[in-house]
Order: sequence, then C-alpha cells, then structure tokens
Amino acid sequence: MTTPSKAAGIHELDEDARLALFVGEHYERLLGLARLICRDTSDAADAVQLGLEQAWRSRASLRDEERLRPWLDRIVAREAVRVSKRSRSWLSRLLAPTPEVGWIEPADGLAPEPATRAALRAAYQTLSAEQRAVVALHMHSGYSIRQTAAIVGAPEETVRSRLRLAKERLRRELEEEAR
Amino acid sequence: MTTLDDRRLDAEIAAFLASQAADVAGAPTTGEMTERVRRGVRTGLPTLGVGIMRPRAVLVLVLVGLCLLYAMAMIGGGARPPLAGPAGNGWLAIATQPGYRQTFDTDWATGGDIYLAKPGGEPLLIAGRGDDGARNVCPTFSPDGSMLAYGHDSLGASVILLRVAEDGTVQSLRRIPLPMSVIDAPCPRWSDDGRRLAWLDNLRDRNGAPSIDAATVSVVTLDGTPVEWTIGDPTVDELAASGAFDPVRAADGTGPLLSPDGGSRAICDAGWLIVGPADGSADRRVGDLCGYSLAAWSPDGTRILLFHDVGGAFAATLVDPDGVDPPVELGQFPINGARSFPGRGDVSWQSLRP
Repeated sequence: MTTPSKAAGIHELDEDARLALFVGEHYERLLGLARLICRDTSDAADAVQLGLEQAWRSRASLRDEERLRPWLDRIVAREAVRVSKRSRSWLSRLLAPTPEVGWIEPADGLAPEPATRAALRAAYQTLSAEQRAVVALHMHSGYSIRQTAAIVGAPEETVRSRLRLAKERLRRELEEEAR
Repeated sequence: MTTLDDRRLDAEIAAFLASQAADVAGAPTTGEMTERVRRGVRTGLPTLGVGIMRPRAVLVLVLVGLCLLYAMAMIGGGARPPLAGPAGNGWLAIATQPGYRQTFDTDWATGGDIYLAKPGGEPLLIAGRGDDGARNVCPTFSPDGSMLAYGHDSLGASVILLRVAEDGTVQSLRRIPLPMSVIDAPCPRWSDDGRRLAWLDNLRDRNGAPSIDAATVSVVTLDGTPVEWTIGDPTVDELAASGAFDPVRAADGTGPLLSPDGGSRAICDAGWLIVGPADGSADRRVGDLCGYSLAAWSPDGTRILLFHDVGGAFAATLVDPDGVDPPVELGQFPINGARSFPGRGDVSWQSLRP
C-alpha cells in the first residue's frame, strides 16, 4: 500500500518526468523560433524558459492536442518579442552597460560565411521584433498569413505589411551586396 | 544594381533563417532548460516576465482609465464636434483611363489624363499624359476635400499629391515614388482620417495576368513614409471594390450605386436610370439617361454622374435623380485609342464641409 507521502513522491516523479518529456519534445524547435525573433541566444533562452513555464502551468486550458504546436509557438513568439523589446529598452541599456556580444566569427576559417549571408544577418538585425516574428513564423515555421496573424495577435493586413517591409529591407541589402 | 526576383529572395531568406535558427551556441542544454523550467514552475516565484507585468499592469489600468475618460467626454460632448451640416459638392476629378490593370497592352501606350469639372464651366486638365503617354489614374479626394491624390506612371510609378483650390487651381504637394518593382501606376485611396494613402500591390499572377490572389496593401503617410497597415486603412477588399481592381464592375458599371447617406440607390437597366430607396421597395424610372457607366452620386445626394460613349470620347453628364432638373453635360473627354473606358473607380467627387 502506498503511503500518502510516497504517493506524493511518485506523483512528483511522474510530474517531473512528464515535464522533462514536454521540454525535450519542444525545446529545440522553440529555441530556434525564439532565436529568430530575439537578437541573441541568451534572450532566446529566456523567452523559451518563460514560455515553457507559462505553457506548463496552463496546459490544462489546451483542449485540442492538435493545437499544441501553434499554441506553444504563440506563447514563445510573444514572449520572445517582449524579451527582445525589453533588452533594447533605454532602461535596460542604462542598467546593463556591458555591450551586447556581436556575431562571432566561425571557427572554421576555411568556410567563412558567404557575403550574402552576412549582409542578410546585418539587415535582419535591423528589423523590429514584430517584423522578425512574422518572418520567422511565416517563412521559417511555415504558418500561413492567417495563422501567423493569430499567433502574433495582429490583423492579417498588418502581418502582410510587416512581411513586405521586412522583405523589402532584406532585398535592398542583398541587391547592394550584389553590386 | 542587380535586381532580385521574388523566388531567389525567398530562397535566400529561407536559407538564412535556417542557419540563424541553428545558431544557438551557448544556449542551455535540454536538461538545463528542463531544470530551469521545473524550478520556475515549482517555486512559483515571480519570474522576470511577471516582475515586468506589475508596472505594465498599472500602465494598462492607467490607459484604460484614460480611454474611459475620453469616452465619457465624447458622450458628454466635450470632444471634437462632428462635422457640421451635410456635405456640399465640390470639384469632380475625372480620369480618362481606367485605373485597374487590364490585359490589353495597347491601353497603356495611350496614357491618361485627369480633369477637374464642375457644372457651368469647362473641364480643367490638371494631369496630362504628355508626349510620353504617361498614365494618370484613380484620382481621389481626401475625406475633408482639401487634397487630391492620384496614381502616375511615366518611366516609374508614383503617387502624386495635390492641393485643390476653390477655383480649381492646383498646387503640387508631393510626389511619392514607388520602388522599381512596382510596374504600374497605383490606384491610391485614403485612410479614414485622411492621414495616409493606401493602394494594392502584387496584382499580377506568374503569367503576368491581372490577379488579386496575392494582392497586398501598401500604406504611406503623406510625406511618403511607408508604414504598417492599421485599422482605418483600406483593406484589400475595399480597395478592389473601389475600382482599384474591379474589371467586371468597371466594364459593367451600371449596377446598384448607393447614395452617400445610404438611403437611396440608383441602377441602370436597359438604358433607363432607376432610382429608389436602398431596399429596392419603390424603384421609379427617372429617364432614358444611362450610358456605359453609372459613375457616382454627388456628396449632397442631389445629382448622379453618368458616362456616355460619344465616339472617340466619353461625355460626363449630371442627372437629377428626382427627374425634375434637365441633365447637364460637364464636358467631353478624349479616349485617344484606349480600348476601355473609365468607370466608377476613376472619378472622385470633392466633398465640401462647412
């Protein structure tokens, strides 16, 4: 017969195991999504952590398992936008005078990043967090305009505008690089 | 400068995004992240997100309070008073060439003009096609009637912004050039507050035929700065219905046209102008007055504009919907070889507010 304390221990173990499975299943994908929205890996990790905490606490509210992926993406994408804006606020810059770490040269000197990739990276960093979010969700995660609008919580026309402006900026950089 | 096509751009972006998403060196391992999440969930301590939410919650409450105060002021009459009185009729801006994309290439070569017209005077040419056959299309008065915008294409697309004086003289305010990727004169329309202009882009399919399937809305402020679409800006459907992309309606511009107050409707049937309540309950024949297009109601609802084909040109005629006053011809406007006539989306009636 299981004592209440032992039962509680088994329950906790199960809970921990379930959490580990949950994180293991989604972490890598969510980290990649957050990395595309945030400007660096540490912000992306923060956003994913906050998102996973929020998702785990409120997972009972998800009634349709089919919706798990867009539901998670929505939570993490919004968290990533918020974290990205927070890290760029004047207050955070005032309180955190350490300069942000820029792009690190690849270790393999024989395979430098293509010039076009470097140009895109530089241009991508100039996009707003909201623009990076719609680019990541639509062009990387494969969501439709409508789905992307639902995830970021904006009208479809706003999403189209953000995508168009983002692509125009990226196009300009690539065309400049090709000159 | 090398010009990228859309497919190559998308491919470059997709490849970049894939590499960027994988650029997570230094991120916690899965196990480390699991532990972080577990600690956050178990302890229930306010995470960084919650800590920021507190002042944010206060800010939200303050904003909500301000909105409530503003709403109360509106209800109490303390806000900006609504426009007083019914709108008056100002100038009519008429384009001689349709604004929507067509499939006949020869139409583009003729170019198009924009005139201002009023009863009792001769039409004033304010935007001419010139020797290079420029296209001047889709004139549109701002909601307050003070400015006129139109699309222009002459070796490059742009939106032109004018100020129109009472006597019909115009002052050029701005020319907003569009990217080289835009291959035709845009058909601009105003935002509700008259502070932005919007038009449809990407109006061709892969074969170059007119298509609205992939259309997007471009929005700029009046100084030409591109901005994101927002509530109050025209939508794709609204722009398409306004004549920016509606070849069916423009070719058959005789369908129901509601009066500005929404209470009446006009329709052309077998050449007869028929007017009645908007619900169609009491239609009456006004006269055998219809031509090829039932173009517009006047802002004050007392006149209807009709276009007639007069052979090589079209005539613009004002008709009394009550059938009392005789029709008045505003003028005849040359087509110059174009194979299609302007229609409902190619005229804008200046609305004058006291």
